[in-house]
Amino acid sequence: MTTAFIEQSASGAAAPRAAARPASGKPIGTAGVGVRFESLAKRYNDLYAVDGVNLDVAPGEFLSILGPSGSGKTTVLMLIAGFVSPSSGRLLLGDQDISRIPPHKRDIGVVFQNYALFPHLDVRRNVAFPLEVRKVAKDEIARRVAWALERVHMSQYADRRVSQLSGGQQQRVALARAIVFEPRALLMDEPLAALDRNLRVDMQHEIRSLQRSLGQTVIYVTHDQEEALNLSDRVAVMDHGRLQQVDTPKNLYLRPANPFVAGFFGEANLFRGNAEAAAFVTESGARLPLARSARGKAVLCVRPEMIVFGDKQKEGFPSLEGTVVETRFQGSILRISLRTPLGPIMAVRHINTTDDAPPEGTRLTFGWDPELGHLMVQE
Amino acid sequence: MSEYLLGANGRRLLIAYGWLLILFIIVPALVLVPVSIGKDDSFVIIPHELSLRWYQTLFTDTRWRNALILSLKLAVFASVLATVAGVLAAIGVSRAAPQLAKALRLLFIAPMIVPLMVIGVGFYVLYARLRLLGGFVPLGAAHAVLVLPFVMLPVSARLYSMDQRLEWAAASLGAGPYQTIIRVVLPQLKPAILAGFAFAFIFSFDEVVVAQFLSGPQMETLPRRMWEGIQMGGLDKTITAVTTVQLILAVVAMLFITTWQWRPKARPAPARDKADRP
Repeated sequence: MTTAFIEQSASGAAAPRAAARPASGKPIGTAGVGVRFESLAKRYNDLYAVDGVNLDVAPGEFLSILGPSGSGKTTVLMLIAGFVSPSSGRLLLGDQDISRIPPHKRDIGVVFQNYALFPHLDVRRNVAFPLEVRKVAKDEIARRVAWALERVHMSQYADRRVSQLSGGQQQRVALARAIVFEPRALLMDEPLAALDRNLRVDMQHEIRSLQRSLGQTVIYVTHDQEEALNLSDRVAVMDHGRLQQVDTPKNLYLRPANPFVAGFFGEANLFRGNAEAAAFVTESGARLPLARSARGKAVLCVRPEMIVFGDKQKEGFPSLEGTVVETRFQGSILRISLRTPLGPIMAVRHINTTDDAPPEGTRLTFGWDPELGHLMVQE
Repeated sequence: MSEYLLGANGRRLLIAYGWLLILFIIVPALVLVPVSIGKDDSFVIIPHELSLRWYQTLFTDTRWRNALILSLKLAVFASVLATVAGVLAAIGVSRAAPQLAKALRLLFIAPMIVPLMVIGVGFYVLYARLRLLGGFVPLGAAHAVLVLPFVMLPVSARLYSMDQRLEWAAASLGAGPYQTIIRVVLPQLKPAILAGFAFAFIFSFDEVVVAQFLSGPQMETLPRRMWEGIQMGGLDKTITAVTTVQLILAVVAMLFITTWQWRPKARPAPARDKADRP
């Protein structure tokens, strides 16, 4: 799954890069390298903020690290950038161990949530900063700054003060500043969190297309599921300092590894119980059919949109009964809460002009395609 | 709000009190200005005849002029020394462990709290042993200690309010620790450094207690000369010219500081704070 995505982004890179090549000099913009976490851990006193993370980020991959507050995702970011050093484990950039290398020698571009532009410098000097500290020749600095500002559509603002820019413009400048020195990877810390919603969606597209055309490796830290799903080749879900699952957006939704992941991406009806070959026996004693036989303590996950009612039920679907507690109209979908012997069930139905919402108190039969139920066996 | 709570009479009383306070602060500082431009040598507040002769004395009389030049030199020496040491100390303290930082900050601010007399006598005894009394550099160094807090306080405050992520950003962009200080930290501190420097300069320029102890017989600073001028009974009216010059200097310095600090700066970005940042 992963490799397919990488090939796709690598082939997408060729054409736009050629177009962006300046008239003279060597082309700017290097493809990213891979990042590898080997049992990486960070302990504060006796508390593990990050606990034994193993992860391989492929060159040119867009990987999000997603988790709620306190999940350890920010510590992972600080470890990659080098602002904190790991208690144990290794971090490799390409084939170089960077665990003990100070941040200014890592060659990783970082984009911060609050932009962290230097207020005493104008846009041009902000973008030139990483080149100036590397003592790059003046005309080369001018050429690269022009290239980077062009890439983020900020060329006409080169002489502005940072305080004269809007949030979105500041974030573009921060992005230009992070790519101008041809870093080996890009690290982004909730770069869009401070922007309003419409701008956020636009910027998501821009970041994605910039990443594709550069072939950069991006590690993107966020707490926003939608953003992570929208942008990423793969998403690494963190909770309590541990990686819960690293997978493609589709698999995270359809094949969550555990109830935390299932609950984190959208709504889920979760049934606890035991898998007994072809059937799943809930704690309340109901038998639900399984598509594949399994054994052991498990949680069955059924997404609300997979629930079908009455005559739409088919052969082999579980046949259950429930009472409508509440119906809510939410644009194109209808959300139905049911009270059932198995506990509360949430279902959604796409609005269909011939259907009316079932009134409260209606008794309905419902079920789902066992193929779509996802069983999470717990060790 | 206050109108509603105080009523009309209460409001009038409050305004009257406010004006009284303002006048009580300003009048003593201003009262010598008209005196200094009176021609005769009586201390009347509203002069009969205007003249700049006392200013002329200040700049032509060798004793007054030497005192003025010495004080200016001393203030420059002490405030430059204190600014360099104070900025470095503030940056150092900001990076120390919290407990140590607290202790160090207190130590560096102590010269402002400890009575001048104590510091003066202390330096006097020390310098007498080391045979340093009456030297320009030793006196300048003692003054630098006195004015160190004036630099430490604003620079520390600015450092404290500075976004640490600017330093992180600089590091991630390839700037080593020294480059980060020179290219990012110091430019951010510029207004605070200038303010600290100006306060330090003014304080050193008219400091009299410690100077009295340490300057020995030959070195006569301006405040010492004034002190003598008052004590000698004759009441040299040149003093009023000096105070006016000092007042103008202080006002200019304060205008300079406020305009620097009120210059429009980059508004901090509306960042959401993160609960899980270690």
